[in-house]
Amino acid sequence: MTRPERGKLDARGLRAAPSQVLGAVRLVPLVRDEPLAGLHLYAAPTHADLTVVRLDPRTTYTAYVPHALVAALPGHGQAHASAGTQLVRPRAAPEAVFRVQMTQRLARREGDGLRLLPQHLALEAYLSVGFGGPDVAWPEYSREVLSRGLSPRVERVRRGDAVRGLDDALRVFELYPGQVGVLVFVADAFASAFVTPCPEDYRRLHRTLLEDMYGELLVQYAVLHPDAAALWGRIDGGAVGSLADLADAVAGLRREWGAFAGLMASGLLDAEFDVATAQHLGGFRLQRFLPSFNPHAENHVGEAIVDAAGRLAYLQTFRLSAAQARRGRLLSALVAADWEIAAAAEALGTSREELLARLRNNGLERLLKAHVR
Amino acid sequence: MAVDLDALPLTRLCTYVVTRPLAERRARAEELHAALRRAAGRIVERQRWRLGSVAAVLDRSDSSSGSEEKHRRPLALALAGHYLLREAAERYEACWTPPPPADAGGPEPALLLEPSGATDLATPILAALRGRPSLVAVISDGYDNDPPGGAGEVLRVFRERLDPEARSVVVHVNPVFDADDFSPRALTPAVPTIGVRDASDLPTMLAFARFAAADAALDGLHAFLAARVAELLQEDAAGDAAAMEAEP
Repeated sequence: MTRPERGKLDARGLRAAPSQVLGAVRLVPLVRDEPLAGLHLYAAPTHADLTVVRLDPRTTYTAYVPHALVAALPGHGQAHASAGTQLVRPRAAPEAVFRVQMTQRLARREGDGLRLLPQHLALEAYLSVGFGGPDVAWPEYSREVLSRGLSPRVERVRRGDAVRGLDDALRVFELYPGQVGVLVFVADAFASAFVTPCPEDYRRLHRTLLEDMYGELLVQYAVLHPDAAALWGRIDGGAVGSLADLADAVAGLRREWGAFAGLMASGLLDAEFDVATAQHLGGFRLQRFLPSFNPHAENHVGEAIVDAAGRLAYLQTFRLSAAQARRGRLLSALVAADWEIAAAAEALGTSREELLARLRNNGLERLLKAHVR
Repeated sequence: MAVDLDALPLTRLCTYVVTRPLAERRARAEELHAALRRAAGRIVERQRWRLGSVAAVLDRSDSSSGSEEKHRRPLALALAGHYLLREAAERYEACWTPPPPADAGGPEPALLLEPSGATDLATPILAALRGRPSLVAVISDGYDNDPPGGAGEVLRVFRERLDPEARSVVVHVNPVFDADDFSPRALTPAVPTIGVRDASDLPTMLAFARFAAADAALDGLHAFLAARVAELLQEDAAGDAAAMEAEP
């Protein structure tokens, strides 16, 4: 893992096509005019109820991981590609065996390929912020955090099938010619981005979006705003006197709709990230990135595979909830200040007392000694 | 194994056709086309179904692939509706979305259609309305996404502003029942939506929908129902006769 560098995503070669909406879910196709040659992606189902990944001799990452992604150079294990297209259905009958899969790393080289656990690679980067705990025994911290760090660090996420309407939206979604990716919006809030190297890969992986992780907020949005799209596109009947007028009005509707600039609306391209390279494969690099934890912006974690020129071959993101972003902001501020509360408070533009209160209010109270005020 | 095409009812025949590989459909185009016409003709004759000028808007977009269980069912229903309406109508125009490629060729370009592309229903509906036919049948799963809701808006404004007396009756025929409430998904409240699982129900369903849409006079409804009853009795008699023959 390299040291993180500040950077932006490079979406050269990708453009957004007109979106399709069903209920609260808007899917914006991402299209490449030229497929990105030299890399293929496919999914390998894990069939495990729980996946335990050994990160280092003392640290494990435990999560439900529906499938791994394999990124392969041309000529690698093509026989596997078709097996990867099968999605695991939720089991109809309970099994007596609870399957646990043990894995060595979140991303590892396999011959000419690279096996990674999508989204989990990014989420683990988020969970590891400040995970080790304070190096200096500042008086405010609890004995537990001084000896064990933040372990266990737990965050809750939801599976795509909990987002109401996503299943139907993915099923009736009509693939766009040359489509290699998609932006998912729920009630027009940007949820996630997914990009693959070429249309065949996307076609195979389209349905895996249903097994991806989504934040609680998006599950709520889907329930609260089931018909977000209905607010768009009404024709003013008063101005229509003929079929030709009606045709003009439809053309206007289509222009208005096409102007929903997916990539711009996502805010992904403007955001600055801390990018670290995790693996190399041929001329490609696997990176994972963390947001700046700005409380007034959306915060997305993600992983990407970029080619030698820095162009995105693969991208998958996860939107942190507001509470998760606040925890990330507090922890990264503490890390940057070597865990000195007063210095971190100053960097955050607040007082020591206020910072202590915020740590408590954001689910990080176990960092602190009980009596610290 | 050879399939006796004339033994299949229209909907099953259409499902058979649209699940054949394209090359086979192309090679057997004449044979399939003739069988489809005969199957549609049998329904039209049995129900003595006569229509004036008809335009059909037929959806073969990606979502017409249907579910895994009902593979290509929506496309099959669109094809069945196409053959039925053409047999029954005096004047008939078909508007597919997306339109068939210009070089499709053969006796019937619709035979060679595959589910593909986004659903622009607004454009073919506008084209269908242009000739002011007495009936416009929109056969679509109701997922209208280019632009989203465009077809519903066109139909609403057409009914409210351009044709309030409903001289052109528009009916939305939906081959797909929504998973949540088991009802067909509507394009707009401004036109009736009927759910059709079997193309042979189309004449009856369309006739009822026309009463809903056009607010037809009571006399017309009486005559229509009398004809349906007579037909039902006839079918029963035929069925009984067949049952008698089957007795040992």
